[in-house]
Amino acid sequence: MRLLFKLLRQNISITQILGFVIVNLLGGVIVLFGVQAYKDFDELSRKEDQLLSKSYIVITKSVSIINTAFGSARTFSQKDIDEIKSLSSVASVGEFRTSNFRVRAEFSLGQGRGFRTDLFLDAVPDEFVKNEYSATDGGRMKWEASVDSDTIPIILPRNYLNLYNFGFAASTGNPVVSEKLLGKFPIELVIGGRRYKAFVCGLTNKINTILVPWNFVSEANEKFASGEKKRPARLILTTDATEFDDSIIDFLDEKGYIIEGDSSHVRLQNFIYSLLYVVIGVGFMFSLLAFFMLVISILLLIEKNKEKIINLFSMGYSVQQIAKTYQCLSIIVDAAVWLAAAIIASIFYPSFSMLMSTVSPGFVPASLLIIWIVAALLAVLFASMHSLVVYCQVRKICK
Amino acid sequence: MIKSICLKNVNLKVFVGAPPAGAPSEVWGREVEFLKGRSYLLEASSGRGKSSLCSFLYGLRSDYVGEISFIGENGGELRGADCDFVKIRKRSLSMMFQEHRLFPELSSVDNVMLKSQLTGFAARRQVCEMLSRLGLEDRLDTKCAKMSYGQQQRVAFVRALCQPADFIFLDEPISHLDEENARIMSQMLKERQQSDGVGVIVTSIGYRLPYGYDDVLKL
Repeated sequence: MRLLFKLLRQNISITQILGFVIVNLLGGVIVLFGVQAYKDFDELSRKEDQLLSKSYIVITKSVSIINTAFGSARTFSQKDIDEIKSLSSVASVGEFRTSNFRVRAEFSLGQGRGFRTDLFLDAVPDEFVKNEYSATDGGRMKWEASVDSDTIPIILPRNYLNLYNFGFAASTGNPVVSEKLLGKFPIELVIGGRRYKAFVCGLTNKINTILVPWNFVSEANEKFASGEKKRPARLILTTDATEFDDSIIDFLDEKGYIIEGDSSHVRLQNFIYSLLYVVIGVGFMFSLLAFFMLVISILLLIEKNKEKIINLFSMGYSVQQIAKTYQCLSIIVDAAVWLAAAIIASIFYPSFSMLMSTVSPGFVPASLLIIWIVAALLAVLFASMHSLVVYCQVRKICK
Repeated sequence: MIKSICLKNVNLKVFVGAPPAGAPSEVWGREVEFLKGRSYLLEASSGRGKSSLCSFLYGLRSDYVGEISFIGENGGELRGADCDFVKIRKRSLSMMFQEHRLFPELSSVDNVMLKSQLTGFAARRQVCEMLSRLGLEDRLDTKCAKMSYGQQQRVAFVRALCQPADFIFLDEPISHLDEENARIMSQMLKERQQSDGVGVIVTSIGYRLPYGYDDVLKL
């Protein structure tokens, strides 16, 4: 093998190999960076879906001078609900139940810091919410509570956290709170003189209210308020499809219903996804270019050594033995480049994710393992393809 | 293991219908059998197809009519497309090419070792001894590109000996050698034939390798 390599390495162009290394390194780092960022953003956007069992939207009636004057007009009648239920793309419709009692929340941030505020609570039927959540102590927490419970699971709008971090905390000198840390700060709810410990199960961009279990609101309305049932001002709609189709959007527009949530957030998310697709695509184009550069370089090398290959074959060397030399060369170069790309991406990605965590508190970088897995897969793919090209070319010469 | 090589009406395609001028061939268009353990001299003037025949037997070319078959020890017969020439060249047939086919960028020892290490036939020390016997002791590490044609011929000969074989083909092996080197070469070949019982097929344009041939055939 040593002699064979000594013979066949003649005519190796260091410039061509170097060109491949530089271009593939550039492309590789971009691809790995993009894939890791995609994974992290995807994780961030999935958090939303983890709260509720299906793809969902929340709708309200638009607020105008007329329905402000006639309060009932902003709530949904049974007829409205039945009409929505009849839509083919709607799988189920749930009514929001609002707390009719006074709720006071106390947030303690340690070292005597914290704040109090009046709140309101809402609930949707339990079938719209996942049954179990990760508790801050690592255990599982059920989505259930009654007025006799000491603890209540709650879901907060993400806006509230942003409002606190970028508004209240900034102006009062209180510490900012990440999504991960949020569950560790106790929130005490005072209802009718009774104190409840509330645990944040998750954050949502789509519902602008504080969600608690259905049973809790029902019982608390009976116990701490008159128990009078009001028509819902908000409805939650789910679909069996991945996303709602345009027909329901048209229907809602026509009816003057409004989809709740931060639409700009969705637009930003879509933009980030598109950007990441472009980044990964560009990186992949570079890598593909580099792939073909090495293919051409190896083909040229084989062509220059054609006579030697024919002589080796006529001496008794098999196509496989001859091809092995070039295959080893391409495997070493491919492995080295992807290893270097993975190392560079792993070194620089944490700085990027720190920056992203500052901009978006929900951004929690996943393990960098994905960089190494993708690098290993691409290295294997590239090396296999190069090896195949080498084998075919040597076989063609020896035929 | 190949016991014999049979030629049945083998002829160069270019000779079909237009045979070369001169005496009729004792090989082309005839039934000939080369036996392992025996030595043959194929003699002919230039252009009678000596190198072509070697290439046909060695599986490098197939522009011939007729049939070439290899008979194994157990009587099995291999012919045409059935032959795995990579294996046959490695284990059964060895060839010293007329044009040597050495690698100019490698030293004489490395050229031989490249062949020898394929089967682990001879160690570097043995290769050096063989080259030294042919007067190349001071050229062992010299690149073949810097060697004379005669020196390269001796390297090519040693290379042909450094593999297991049933038949060794030598295509005009001493065209550029002096008598003394031709004699040593002949002696080395004899030793190999006696030790391993190989068949020897030598071609010559007139300047014969001095050897006690069992058969001399006019091509």
